[in-house]
Amino acid sequence: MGGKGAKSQNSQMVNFEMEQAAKAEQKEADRKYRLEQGMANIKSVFHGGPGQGDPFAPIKENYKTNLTELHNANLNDTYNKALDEALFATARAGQRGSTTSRDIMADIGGRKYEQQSDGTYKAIDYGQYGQAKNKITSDIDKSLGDLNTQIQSAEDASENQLYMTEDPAIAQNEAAKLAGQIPAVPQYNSLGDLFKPLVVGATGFYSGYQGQNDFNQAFSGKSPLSKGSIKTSSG
Amino acid sequence: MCDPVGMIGLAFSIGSAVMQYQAQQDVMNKQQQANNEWLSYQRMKARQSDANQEAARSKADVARANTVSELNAKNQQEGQETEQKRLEDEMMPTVDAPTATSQQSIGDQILGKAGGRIEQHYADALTSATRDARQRMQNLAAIASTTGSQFGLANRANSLLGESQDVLKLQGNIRQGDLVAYGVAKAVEPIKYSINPAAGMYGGIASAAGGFASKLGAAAAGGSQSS
Repeated sequence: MGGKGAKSQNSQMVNFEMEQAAKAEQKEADRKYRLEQGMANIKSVFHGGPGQGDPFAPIKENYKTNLTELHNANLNDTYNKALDEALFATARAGQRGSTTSRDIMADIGGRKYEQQSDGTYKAIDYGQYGQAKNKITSDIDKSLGDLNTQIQSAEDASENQLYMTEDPAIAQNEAAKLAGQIPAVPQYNSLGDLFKPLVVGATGFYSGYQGQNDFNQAFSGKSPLSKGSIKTSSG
Repeated sequence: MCDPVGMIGLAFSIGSAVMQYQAQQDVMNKQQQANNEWLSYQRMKARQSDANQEAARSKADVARANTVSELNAKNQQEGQETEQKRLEDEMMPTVDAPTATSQQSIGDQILGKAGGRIEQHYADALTSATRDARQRMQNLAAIASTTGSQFGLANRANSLLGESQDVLKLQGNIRQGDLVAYGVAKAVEPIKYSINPAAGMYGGIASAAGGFASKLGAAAAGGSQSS
């Protein structure tokens, strides 16, 4: 007459739901692990693993060395030409050794070493040479900044790939491929004219010529010691 | 007076009621137990989800706080001064004494060759030129370090924000996934109990038998009275 009075209506369904919940939890834990693993892989490609240095340091050093050498070669070439032109131009204008020629030398510039309090020396690049060197330093710094931006962009692209695939192996391969596409050699763009054109003694030369011309006319070809050799306003 | 058949019927009725009551009690007890178990399960899942959410949120918050700290005025100023010093050292490198004394510029080579007022004029021009150059380079370093130099304020801020963005994005993604998994657990329903059909059947039979016996007893009592 008795027996259990209660019977479950949906125990199978509930068991299935709990099973699904457990699977979803496990799936999410696996996905979280893959994402964290993938992110660590990408970071190691772009920033180096634990204890390792910056993997892009050789490329950055190459950029700096390459651009410095190329720019300095151009600068030294134009600097030497500017010095030669100054020397010849001042000589042609009869102003060699004058204050004018030394002003020109100071303006063209060069490198001066100033002693510091600790005994070391600071190199000061002055004049147009100094301005050209500053231009070169800015250009190299900008190129390195652009390189950093390229590296960051490649890293961002790799992370997006990871979120899409949720596969750390694919993300690492993609990261390595993008990192490898970053050019190891910088693009060199000439900085153009580094020295202003030299105008040496044109005024002085002309004045000198005109002065001589006026002198000749005044003397009319006679000796300056003979009477009537100097023209006056009345004659 | 004491109709035995009626008594039997009464007994069956009472028995039926008892069975029904017991069955209902069983359902109620089991349902209560099922509800309690379901509640415990949901509470456990909620606690787990809260812990996961809090862990991810904390990691994101640490990254955010570090970035905010690095971008405060004091650290930004230190960053700018460090970058300015780096640029000044690039533009005015330090050399040792042997290098400085062994390398003379063209300008320095003709220094001291003129004599007199021309020499003084030239020395003054050189001093003025190097002073102007030093000032120009310091100004250039100060300006570049606050704007677009490699590690200037703009690039520094972008770099710091980019690093924290990576962490925020990852932890945000993890939190979203955890919420999805928790949603599946939240959808689990409690087990529902109802009266066992077998128990109902026996009760029904007892109830019917009791009713029949009552009628029979009533009929028998009516017949004996008339006789």
